[in-house]
Amino acid sequence: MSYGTRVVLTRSGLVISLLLLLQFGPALGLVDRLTLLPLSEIAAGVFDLARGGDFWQHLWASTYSIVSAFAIATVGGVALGYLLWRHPVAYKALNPYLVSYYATPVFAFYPILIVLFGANRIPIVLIAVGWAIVAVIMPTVEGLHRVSNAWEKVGEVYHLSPWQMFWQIRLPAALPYVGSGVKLAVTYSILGVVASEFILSSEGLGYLVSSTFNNFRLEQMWGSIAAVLLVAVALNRLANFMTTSGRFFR
Amino acid sequence: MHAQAVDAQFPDGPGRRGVAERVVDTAPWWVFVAAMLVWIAAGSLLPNAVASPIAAWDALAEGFGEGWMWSPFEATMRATAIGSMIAVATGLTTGVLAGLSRFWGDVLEPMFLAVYSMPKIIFYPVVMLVFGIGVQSTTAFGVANGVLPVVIITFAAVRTVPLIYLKVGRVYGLGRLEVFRSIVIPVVLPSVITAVRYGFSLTFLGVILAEMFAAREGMGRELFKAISLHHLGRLFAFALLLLAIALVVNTLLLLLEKRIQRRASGARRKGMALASASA
Repeated sequence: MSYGTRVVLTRSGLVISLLLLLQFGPALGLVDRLTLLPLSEIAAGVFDLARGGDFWQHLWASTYSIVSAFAIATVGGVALGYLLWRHPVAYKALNPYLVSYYATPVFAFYPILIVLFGANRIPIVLIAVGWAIVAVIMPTVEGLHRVSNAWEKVGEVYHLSPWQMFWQIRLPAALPYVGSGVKLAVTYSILGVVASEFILSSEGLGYLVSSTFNNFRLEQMWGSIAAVLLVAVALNRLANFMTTSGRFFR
Repeated sequence: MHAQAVDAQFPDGPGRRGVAERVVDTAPWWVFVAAMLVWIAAGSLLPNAVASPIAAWDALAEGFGEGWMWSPFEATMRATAIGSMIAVATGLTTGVLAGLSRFWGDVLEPMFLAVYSMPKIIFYPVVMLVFGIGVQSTTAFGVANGVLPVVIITFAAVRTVPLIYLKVGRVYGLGRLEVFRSIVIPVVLPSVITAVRYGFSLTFLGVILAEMFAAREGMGRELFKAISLHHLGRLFAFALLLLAIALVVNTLLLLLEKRIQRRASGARRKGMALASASA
């Protein structure tokens, strides 16, 4: 068989063995039943949750927070990236902070946001935006910088306005870099929303995991964990699909 | 990197630094000053949301002076230190092994990226079921958070060792270990420092997150307590302490990274010269 096929088969084999371990591990006594439930019971837990009333409300709250955070981070990130590219001094000034940004505990500012905006979804969305926006800014600056001079000259020949230059030449040229930033933004939006809900909120999938854990409802806890993972995988796949081959712009 | 392009506009070479370049060099400090001004303003405009710098400083001084800050500080930093070492050691090993084998690299790469994109915090309850509430759990979660970026960065770095270097190794008849020691390691070293930087930072973040959720001690727990009790002075003291630690360690490791990068590109030029001489 070809190399490619061998790679795919090996990978599938690994995933299947992992799922089998998840299913039969607890039964065989390899893993404590208190820690890990068999896969079938996790699946049952997911259905259980889905039938119960609040799950959909939590799912909706989390999903639209993630999507809003992602939208704001992407648009804002590209805009800020453009501004920083235009003003290298500002970029140089902010660079040490941008580069170390991923390491900062942004959610420590949650209380300020609650006082400013109330104990609703907005602080959570803003924290996720705070986390994700830098992931978009940096690659945007890099991508804009790498737009070939030849293309910029074409724009000058056609007397394009700055907005047209940006929208029709610079941004499409920078898209591969921006695309990689966008993919990271999806990850960080999900992370930001779920982590904030997990620790500091009373609504959403993250909250569901922590509350089911605190109430020792282990099937439902695993069910909500599975739900979060499914949402994360789905959104990441969607983002991957939309950013590859510049689909978005053509 | 754009930073290098910007640096090209403001070159570092001796004798080329004018007044303008030196002023721009201090630019990050202006941002710091501006941030302080915003903070002072916010402290007076929004007293029930923001503690003034003075209040935060007082809380910090009191904390270290009277000692109630030392215990959580030590607990968190100990968990972070141990966690980082485990995360970096495991991550480097896994990344190098996966990177050296083309087959296993291709098999595992999508899996690494898929796991990276999942929010690991939701697994913390499971970690607690295994390790109980305490420093073992927070350390374990820190490791879980920090190991994957180390793997991914190291893996990518090992995969991109230019084939021509390895051919030079073969020309010289070097054994596998020698190839690894004298070719792969020097090329990969800058990325290893990057990986260590990410490993430490994300382990630190993981430990704090875990402590905020459930722990017996630690700065994350104190931060969470301050949030719940709306103890603004302490809240800001802890938040800024955490920020400071993150920034300082990151900047130090970044400087180390840049220094190794400069030496590595020197070595690379020598390697290329060697390669073209023997080609």
